[in-house]
Amino acid sequence: MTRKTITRRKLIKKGALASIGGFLYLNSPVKAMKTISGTNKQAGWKSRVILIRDKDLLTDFNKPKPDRILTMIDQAVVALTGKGDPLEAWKEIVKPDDILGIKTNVWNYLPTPPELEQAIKTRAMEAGVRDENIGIKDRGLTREPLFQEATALINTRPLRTHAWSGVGSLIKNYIMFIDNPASLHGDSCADLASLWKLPEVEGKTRLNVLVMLNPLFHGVGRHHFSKEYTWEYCGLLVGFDPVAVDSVGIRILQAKRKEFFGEDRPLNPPAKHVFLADTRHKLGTADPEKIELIKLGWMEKSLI
Amino acid sequence: MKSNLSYIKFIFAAFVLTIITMKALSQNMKNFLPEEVYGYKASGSDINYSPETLFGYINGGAELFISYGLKEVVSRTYERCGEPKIVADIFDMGEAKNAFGVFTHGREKLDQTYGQGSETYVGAILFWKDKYYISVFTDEETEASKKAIEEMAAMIDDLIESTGELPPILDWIPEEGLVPESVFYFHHYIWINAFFYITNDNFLNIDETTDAVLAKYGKPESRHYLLMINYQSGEEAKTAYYNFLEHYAPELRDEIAVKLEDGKWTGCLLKQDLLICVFNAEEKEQVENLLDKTAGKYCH
Repeated sequence: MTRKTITRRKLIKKGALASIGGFLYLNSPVKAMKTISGTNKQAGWKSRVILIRDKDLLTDFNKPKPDRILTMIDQAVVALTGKGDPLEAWKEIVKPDDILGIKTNVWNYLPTPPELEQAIKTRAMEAGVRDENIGIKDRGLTREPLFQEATALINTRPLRTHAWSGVGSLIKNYIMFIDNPASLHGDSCADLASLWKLPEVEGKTRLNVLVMLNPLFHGVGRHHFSKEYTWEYCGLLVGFDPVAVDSVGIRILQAKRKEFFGEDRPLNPPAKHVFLADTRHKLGTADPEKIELIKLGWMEKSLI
Repeated sequence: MKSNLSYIKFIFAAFVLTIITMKALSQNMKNFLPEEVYGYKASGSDINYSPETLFGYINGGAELFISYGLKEVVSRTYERCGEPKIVADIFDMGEAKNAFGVFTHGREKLDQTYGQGSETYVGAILFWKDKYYISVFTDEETEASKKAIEEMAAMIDDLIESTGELPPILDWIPEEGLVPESVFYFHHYIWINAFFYITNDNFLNIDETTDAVLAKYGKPESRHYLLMINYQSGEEAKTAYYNFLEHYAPELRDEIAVKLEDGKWTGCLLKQDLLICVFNAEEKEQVENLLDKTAGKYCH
């Protein structure tokens, strides 16, 4: 891969305060966004991301009420697709003849909540996908026939800081599609977006759901986890573009770190793989100026 | 044919020696782990992890430890009826500076309750002593598990009798205006952006042969940062110095400090095998003072 030197000096010289590099590397505030939306990548096109929150969602840490998380994901896909009702929206996302892999995350301390997995499965079945054609899995995907033959993927996992890649988020969640995840650890996981070019993955992702119920905004110790560095955000970030969704999630994490520590505390190391997913791998956009953020529900202390 | 046989014998002997050494190391670390604490007893067999197998235990988090030269980990689980499990891990980091470096990653305050520096979180105690980084962890903190992890950390601290010496670069940090808990040691370029984004590239040639330190100065609203890198030779330091000028601030060829486009001052100084940089200062004098004081404390 060609590697460009990106120093702070270069970024501030370019006046990159409101750009992708500006916010990912320098924690700069983002300028007020225009509200252009559309479905093609012409001038003015923006990647749509839905932030939805419900302050009465949780019954415990990372444990949502099943009916409320179902309502949230329904509202999110309606806003994302622009369809009139949830069923119509889900039919836009999956088709009855799909073989659907729901790529989840089983990390002990902060897994994808089973209530959300079931909500997605329920709606996929109501949209016509057969039960036996739906798999929910994280590990061992290279030996899992359903995921190898899948025609559609829904990618969902919680957002957290990560000791080596800056964040564990949607782009990184596909690392289990290879047998040797460590092979992508070089340069703090710079090229994770290359996973999305694998034949088992490319062009198959229908929906990305970044779980923001109790995000981890700082890590300590051998497992990079302490509940003291999580908070009840009670949200989901939903979009078609994983880079855009991750980008919004990172802005929320950075805002929380600033609020908690009382000063700018950049992600350590920076989440360069999200930057490079846009600039090097062209997987999507991380640029806040090119993201249309739609907010639904409870927005107190949304941090964005 | 004969030389092939000798070669095979040599490889086999080296392999056996490695295994014996690893076992001896593990045995040594196992001696630091108590059998029983506050009603908790060791359960199952101890598990050893090498840099190659640590991914299976802590996944991507393994890279942090590997970037500090991890040698081996011994992990022991403890159980007590009706109480949550406790896991004690001892990481052999090869050298005291590496154990200290890993420890400085998450450090938020100065605390020496255990070892040569410790931090306590809900359900976890982390500390370093000599070349070891120690984690005592329970998934759920109850009255008993809290008491047990405290006693266990104290026992491990007692059982590791030796202490470790840190590299001299840590003595060259000026104290005036320093945020003491912010002192951060590293020797892998990835960590150069720990507090403040500087670069994505390793043009300062930071590697396992260099000792690097970052530290915060001033109040949050006027935060500035000191970066020191101690190279193996003056020539290496000089190369890094010129790389810094080329990639970051060519103006520093003529000045000791320069005001950047964001209105903040940056400076850089070469003192024999030590490169000293200051970032993000409000005033030119802050840069000059910090560079001078650091250079003044330097001794070789």
